[in-house]
Amino acid sequence: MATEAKSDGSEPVTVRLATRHDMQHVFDMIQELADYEGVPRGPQLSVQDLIEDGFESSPAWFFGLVAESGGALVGHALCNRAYSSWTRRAFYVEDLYVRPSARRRGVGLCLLRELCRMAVAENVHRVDWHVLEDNAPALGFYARLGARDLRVCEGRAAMRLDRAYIEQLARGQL
Amino acid sequence: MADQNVDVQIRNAKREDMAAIAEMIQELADFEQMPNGPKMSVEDLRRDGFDKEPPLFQCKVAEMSQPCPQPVVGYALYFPTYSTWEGSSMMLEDLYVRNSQRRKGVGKKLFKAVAKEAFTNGCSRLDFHVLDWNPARKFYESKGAVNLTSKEQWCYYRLGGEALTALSLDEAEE
Repeated sequence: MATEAKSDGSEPVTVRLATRHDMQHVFDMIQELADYEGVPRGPQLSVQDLIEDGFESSPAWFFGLVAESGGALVGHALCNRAYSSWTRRAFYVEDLYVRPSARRRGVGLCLLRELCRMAVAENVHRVDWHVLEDNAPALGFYARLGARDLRVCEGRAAMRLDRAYIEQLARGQL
Repeated sequence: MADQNVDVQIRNAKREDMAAIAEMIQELADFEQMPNGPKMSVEDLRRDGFDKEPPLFQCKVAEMSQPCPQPVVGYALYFPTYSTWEGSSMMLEDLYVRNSQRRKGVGKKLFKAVAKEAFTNGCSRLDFHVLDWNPARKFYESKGAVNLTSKEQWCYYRLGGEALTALSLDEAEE
């Protein structure tokens, strides 16, 4: 857990590992991020799904960090452990979100910094994520941290096989 | 994709396969023109894939049915991930077929085996990354894979090495 006092006099931000009791708030923020991304009907999970997959499944499908300020949950990062065949352990950040009322106060930075502390402690060598091209503020923020856009520097495209095609391929229909 | 099918079995990798896997990880990096990428030893792979509980990655190999000097001719390395929209998912980190065995349907068999694994585990997505110029993109697209970089403008970001360490140590305010 990390607490950062704010020099501008606003409430300090605390980042800690998410617990099952945070999942209602995480659920709400997943929807808020989908709304922001213009895909409000994207999220298909229930609070119960999040609790089962993150806290009742072994191994857990994900882990989360939440940021609190002034007694309220103001942001979260939902991540999973990944693996690189080049550099061993890796983290993947599926969602990084800060509520509008708490933006421009370094909350996103606090979340990523705590994740990087975990990464260093667990000997993780890379943290990967995706961001939409039109999310200009996020692109600028990530570049300032030293993140590389692998689409640009290595020409890597993200590909996805959705469930319907997974089924077809698994059943030998393709 | 297949000019002629060879007699190849797909099976779960064993720790004894890790020397061949390490060799093929290097071959894939050479193919991707990033020969200095891989930093792993055979021992790293054995520990992370077989001594850890849960294992940090899963792996399937393609093995020639007939005895030959180099029976393992391809591999797929993957691990579970999580979507905040659709729940359990899978990331295919590497899929590789040795040069001598290409165009014989080996890659298709490996890809299908991973799709089956994703299907059995209730995964809603099978995600992976491909270099822009890699002709394999056509193969994946023929199986229903969507290029998220071109279709949804997702940029793929990575924080690694010094940038990751710097952020973990950084106490400064934004």
